[in-house]
Amino acid sequence: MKQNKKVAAVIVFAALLSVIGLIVRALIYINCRPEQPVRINAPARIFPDYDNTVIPPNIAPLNFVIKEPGQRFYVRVLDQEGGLRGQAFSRDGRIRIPPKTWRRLLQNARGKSISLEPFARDAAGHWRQFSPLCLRVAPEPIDEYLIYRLIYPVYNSWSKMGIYQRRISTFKQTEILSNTQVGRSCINCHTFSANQGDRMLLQVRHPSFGPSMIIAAGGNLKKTDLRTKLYPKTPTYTAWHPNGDIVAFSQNKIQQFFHSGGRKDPRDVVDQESDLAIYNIRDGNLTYSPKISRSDRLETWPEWSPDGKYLYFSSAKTPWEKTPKNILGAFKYWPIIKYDLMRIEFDAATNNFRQVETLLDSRKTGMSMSQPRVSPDGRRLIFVGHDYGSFPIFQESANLWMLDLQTKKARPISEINSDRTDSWHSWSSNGRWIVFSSKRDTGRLSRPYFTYIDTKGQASKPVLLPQKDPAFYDYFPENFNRPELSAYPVPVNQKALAQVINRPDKEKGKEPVTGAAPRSDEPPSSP
Amino acid sequence: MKLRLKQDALVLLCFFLFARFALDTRLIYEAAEPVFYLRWDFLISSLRPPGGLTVFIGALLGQLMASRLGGALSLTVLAGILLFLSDRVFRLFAGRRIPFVRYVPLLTLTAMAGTYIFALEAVPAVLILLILAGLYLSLPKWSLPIRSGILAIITALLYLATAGVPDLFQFHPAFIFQAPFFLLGWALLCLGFELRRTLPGARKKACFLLMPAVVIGPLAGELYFRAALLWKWHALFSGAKSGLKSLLLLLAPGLTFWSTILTLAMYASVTAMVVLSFIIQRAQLRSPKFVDALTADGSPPLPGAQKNKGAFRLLGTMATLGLLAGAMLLPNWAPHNAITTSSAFKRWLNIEYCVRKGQYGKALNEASKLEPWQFDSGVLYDINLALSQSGWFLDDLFIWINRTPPTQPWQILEFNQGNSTEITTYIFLGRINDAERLAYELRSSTQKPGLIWQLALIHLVKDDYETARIYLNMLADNPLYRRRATRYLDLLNRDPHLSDVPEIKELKTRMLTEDDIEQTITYQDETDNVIIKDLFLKPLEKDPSNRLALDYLLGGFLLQGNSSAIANNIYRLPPAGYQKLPLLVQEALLVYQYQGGRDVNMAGLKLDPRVATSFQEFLNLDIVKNIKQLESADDLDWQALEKFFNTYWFHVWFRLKEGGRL
Repeated sequence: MKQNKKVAAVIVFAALLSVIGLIVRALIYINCRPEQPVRINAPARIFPDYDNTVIPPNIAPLNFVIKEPGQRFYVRVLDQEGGLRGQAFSRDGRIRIPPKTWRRLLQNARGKSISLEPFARDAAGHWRQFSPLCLRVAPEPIDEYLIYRLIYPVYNSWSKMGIYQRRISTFKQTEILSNTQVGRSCINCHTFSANQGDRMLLQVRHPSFGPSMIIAAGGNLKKTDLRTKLYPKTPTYTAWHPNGDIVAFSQNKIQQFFHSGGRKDPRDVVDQESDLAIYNIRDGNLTYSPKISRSDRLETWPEWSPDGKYLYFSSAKTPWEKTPKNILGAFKYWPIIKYDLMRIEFDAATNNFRQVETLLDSRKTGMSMSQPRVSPDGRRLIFVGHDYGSFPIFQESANLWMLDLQTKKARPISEINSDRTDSWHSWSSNGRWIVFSSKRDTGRLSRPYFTYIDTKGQASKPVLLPQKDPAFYDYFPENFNRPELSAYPVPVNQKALAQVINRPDKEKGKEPVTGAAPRSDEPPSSP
Repeated sequence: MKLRLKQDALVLLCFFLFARFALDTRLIYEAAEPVFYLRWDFLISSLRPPGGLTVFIGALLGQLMASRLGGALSLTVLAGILLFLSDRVFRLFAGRRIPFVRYVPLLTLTAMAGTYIFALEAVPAVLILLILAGLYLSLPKWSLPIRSGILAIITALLYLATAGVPDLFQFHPAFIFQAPFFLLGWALLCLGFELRRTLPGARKKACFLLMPAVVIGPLAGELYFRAALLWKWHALFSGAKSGLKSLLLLLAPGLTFWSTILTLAMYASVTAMVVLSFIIQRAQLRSPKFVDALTADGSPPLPGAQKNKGAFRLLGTMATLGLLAGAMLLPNWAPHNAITTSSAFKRWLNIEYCVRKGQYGKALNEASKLEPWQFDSGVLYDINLALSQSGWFLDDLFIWINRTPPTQPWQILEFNQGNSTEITTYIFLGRINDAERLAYELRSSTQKPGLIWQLALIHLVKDDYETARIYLNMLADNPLYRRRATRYLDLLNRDPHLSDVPEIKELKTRMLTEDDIEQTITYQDETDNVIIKDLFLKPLEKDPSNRLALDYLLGGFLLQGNSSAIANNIYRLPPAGYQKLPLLVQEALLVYQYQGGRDVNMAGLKLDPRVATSFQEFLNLDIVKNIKQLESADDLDWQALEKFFNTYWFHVWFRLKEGGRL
């Protein structure tokens, strides 16, 4: 009997709580509904700025913060016809749009416009109605997954970093690999074959086992060390051939140095050496060609055309007679090294390279060009143009440029460029979207932005990756590094990946029997 | 009962007075500077790893320590809880025979707090231990299997709450020590209690249930701990060249020799405990008297056991006490902590605290109380900062040049992980990019609020106000930095360049604006002369009033014995605020003149004739005259030289010129 009374009391208490909750919610709703608002013919200050953007139909709710003074905030979500499709309230200006409402709205709004109408109430209880934010929903979706590395600004030492995938239509972020699982290794340069998350390359610098390349394809994991006696430099940037068997990679001797003043980011990088090579995943053969690993040039940033017939890359003439032994010999050349944009025809059947072609000459463009990425239809190439060198990430001058591969004319994508670093771009598999890493908000921390590329190659105003907490970026001190789009999730088992990396054994790339003359007599560095 | 309450109240009052007036709890915060943010995600991430609860409570406790009154009050509340819980546990364990024993844990806490440097999480960990012990000891006389099961669950809870595996999530060596001792203490406490209360009829059963129940929790926890580390670090094991190295890595990955030894000792203790438990079991079966002496009042004692009962009770209580005290003190024990009770350590902390708070005068007052041998490099950076910022001038500024080993001013600029004082030194020197580099290097291993503030400051000075805003937003969630962060956020909203904020304005004036890559790269490799010039001259040229740069510049030349460089830079003294020549600089000038130097731009400053007299006295010493014949330090006439130990002349004549014979 006593027991029953206790149970009944608990049920009554829970019911009371629910009723109180409902009443409070209803009161907030009534209290927050703007009455007789004063119309302001100006947009509200919001962050992220989503006004006049083109958004994918499969993006998560664009939560934002209203930066206007006020004590209550209210946003109406309207369809193209002005019909009310949803609403959101806030006391602190953080607007969270209900996901279900948002999904339903976007499903019916492909190719149409939607608008967000913000209101703010001041202390006296007067409401202000701001001009609506207009957003156009593109008919084409963006690839569903965004893979990036989260890393604090790193100078020499690092602690925690990880590679994550974020589902763009939701806020769900999952960890692909954290370096805490692999002895605090440096994990970097994740690359995918044709936006396929199930074919991934990863570079790892393990404290015990040295550098290696992890290849995750078809459910298999493979760890290889592509350094050889003749070519001992560490593989860095990679590109996966569309046939899935061949990987182009650069071998760089990268030196970091620091500026004592005169610029905001003190970090800088110079390549003392760099060459390109080909690795065949099936038979483990390495191919070096004198055309892409010349001793008088620095070749880097490989990228395949979607048909696999061309290898695009950046290449600079070495400013020194003899490769400098150390940074002291190299750093003084840093401002004068400028990279051309090149391509070379490639026959995958015979593994042969043909003629090198200079697409853009740095002497004519006056800038260094790096990170070429070709659109999936092969029509356009987007690269980063910057003042010097091959590492645009630390340069505020870095901007995205688009090269029309038919007309061979390049233009800065001024629609999306900022006066701060814009780099690390990646195409969506349908060629209508790109994601890129921009430091426009802080100057120091990179954030992922999307932009829609129309059939004429024009880009729309960039959209910052939305987060569940609208104020997320106000607090987040890490970089979104190397954002890559993928149509499918990365299916690699995290534990299996960590185990492969933590194993001492690794395959070795087979020494090339023919190829370019090695430029370094340095033995392979020990792990 | 009333008497006990009065006694407890009196003891707690004494403790409060001690904590309020004898202790400066702000220095406990200064030494620990725990990471704490009032954010939901911080709470969740803190509580997720085993042992996170104590870390979180310890960090929260640290925030209270930042105020003297708050720290004293919180310590007293903790002391009260500790007193209540330990009293409860001892009474459950040993009856009321030895009432004053309940004060021993409190005294341990007093001793621990008095060292200023201790793992703040040790206090909540001990409280959790006592709560769970009290819970276990209060269990009704249920059957042995039920009690054993509950014991296993409580042990698991204890393990999760206090002695988990933070190594898997973050490097925290303190727990390596804490976990084993905690578990050992816990196991022995339970073991003793169960032996006491086990009824004679259940003894045999106890052999099979009780011992494993007591031992299995800690051992399982330890096994999990090691297995998890093994999983995480097995790459390193498999990469080890020798079996011995693998073993060491397995036992104490990433730790030092001593921690390895301590871990081994822990293993030995646990093994001994298991062996001991079996020996006791066997003795229990053979000799009922032995156990009856330990059994509780409810069990009828056998003839002859009564006379030993009190002794066993006392023994058990003392063992428990020792374990509790050990659990609190051992994790915090380290040879250098023995010094911490000394006034020097407290002074160092106080100087650091005052400099951090911008109370430079107080810092210098405290520094003036240090004995010459109590200066270490860390505190010298603080003193130099305090001197340059306060505008005070002390002839003792360069007193440290005769310390062994001498601290080179440019050592702070060597590439390393650094500490907060070094970062502040860079900032005040005007080498803001170097400060940024060092701060981010440090950021890779910690997110202490002090460092986050330094990052915010660096970005404010560099006009990276959007990045600064991110760090300020983070700090706004820290109870101690909230006010400062909010103030700067408000200022930023009004003027992003903070042109009206004097402290920022001053730092901006000092900031190097000219790019200088060569010097940034080479200052580790080239000669000292190049380093000094590059590091300190450039900021001085940028801002002639940058006294910190001038002090380090002159300090560097003094250490090198470069009298001519000192003479050539005398004209820089008045713009930096010097109205008279520092003693050591005067001594250097006399050496310069003695060596034939001429044409010094004295910029209106004068030599003190008494210094010249003293120099003459020094030159007239036989040992100085006959320095060429000096073979070793044993030949020195120490008595004659004693007066000149802190002079530049002694440094030049006996440290530099003669090839470091001393």
